[in-house]
Amino acid sequence: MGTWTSNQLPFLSRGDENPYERIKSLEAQRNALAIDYQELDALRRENVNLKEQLDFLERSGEEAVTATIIARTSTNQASRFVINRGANDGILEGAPVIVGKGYFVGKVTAVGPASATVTASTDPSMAVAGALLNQSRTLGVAQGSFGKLIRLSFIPHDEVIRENDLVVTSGLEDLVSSGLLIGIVNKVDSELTSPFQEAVVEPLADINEFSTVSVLVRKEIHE
Amino acid sequence: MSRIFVAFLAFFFLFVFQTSFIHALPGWLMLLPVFFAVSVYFTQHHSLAIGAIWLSAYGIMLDLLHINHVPLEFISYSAAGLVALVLSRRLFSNRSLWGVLACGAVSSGTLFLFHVLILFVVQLRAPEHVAWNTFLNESLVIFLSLLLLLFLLFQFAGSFRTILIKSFLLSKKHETF
Repeated sequence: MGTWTSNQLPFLSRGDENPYERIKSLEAQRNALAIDYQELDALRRENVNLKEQLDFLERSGEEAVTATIIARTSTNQASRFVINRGANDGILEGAPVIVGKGYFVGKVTAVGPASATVTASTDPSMAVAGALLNQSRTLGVAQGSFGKLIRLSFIPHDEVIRENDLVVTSGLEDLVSSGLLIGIVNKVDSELTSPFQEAVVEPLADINEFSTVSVLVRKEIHE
Repeated sequence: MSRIFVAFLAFFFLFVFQTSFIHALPGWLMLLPVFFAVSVYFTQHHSLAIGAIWLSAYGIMLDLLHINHVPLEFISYSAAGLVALVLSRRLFSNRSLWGVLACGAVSSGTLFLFHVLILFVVQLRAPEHVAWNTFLNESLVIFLSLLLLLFLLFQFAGSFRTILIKSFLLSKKHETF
């Protein structure tokens, strides 16, 4: 009864609005702020990623085309994505794709005039010439494995590999420059019955966390 | 003409939703077969052939953009669409939830079967590209998610019917439930 009376005489209450309307208004404000926060968080992440990419490009002197991921398939069997840049922007098949501080995440495997498909480094059909950052700069082939790991294979038994060694691109491929970070050695499989050793490599970047990538283009080719 | 335009727009929206949004979600959520569920649901519960056509077009788009899980998705998705269409017209009742679930299960089974056949051929050429354990685990998650999604879609049948009528995809006289 008291609540009813209070609702009928809003001018007697402390605020101009009745509590119900005030709660509704505050809820609407809270929802709007939550949406703003989400947008701000997404923009902040994108900003950090783009800044890191820019730093890397300035430091390395590489030329790159920045692209946005517009579609993707991502299961434990296949990891590919489509970007909104293509041959018209100077992108070539086989060009490396990086994120953040120069982390290699894949290679362009199909190019259209305005879009291109990138196969992630964790896709089983993707292989790139890699090298370990150890004393002898051991060479190997970094091939995607099932799940989110990479296997560095064809490493001779006399090479010493340790856990936490960094794996980078070796630069033996035409369009892929050397020194792009692929990942870190997690485990070494060294069976004497097998002709080569293998290393399980954990990628340094998960492509699912990024919406913007950079495709490296060779200056002379781009010009 | 407007019906074709709306169908195309809806296809485009669903395709972008599946490949840009769902596939970017973390964990098993990225496996949710929203496009497949909506297509099968429209084919079975609303008896709309457009759902089967969407499935075929989805396969073509995956192949064109090279974002297929398995090579030649066009064949697998077309077969699944065709099976869904035949089942909705000839075998299962359009009205019941069980009909919708059964149609979803059989068309998903068809897709799975075609994927297995294609992967078997891929394995003969490049065995390192196929991991049956991973494939089977993911297929099971997709199958269970599909049944769950179809169950959820069935709960909003009335709203979907209103949307379909307003968007010219369904005539008012056309009643399947």
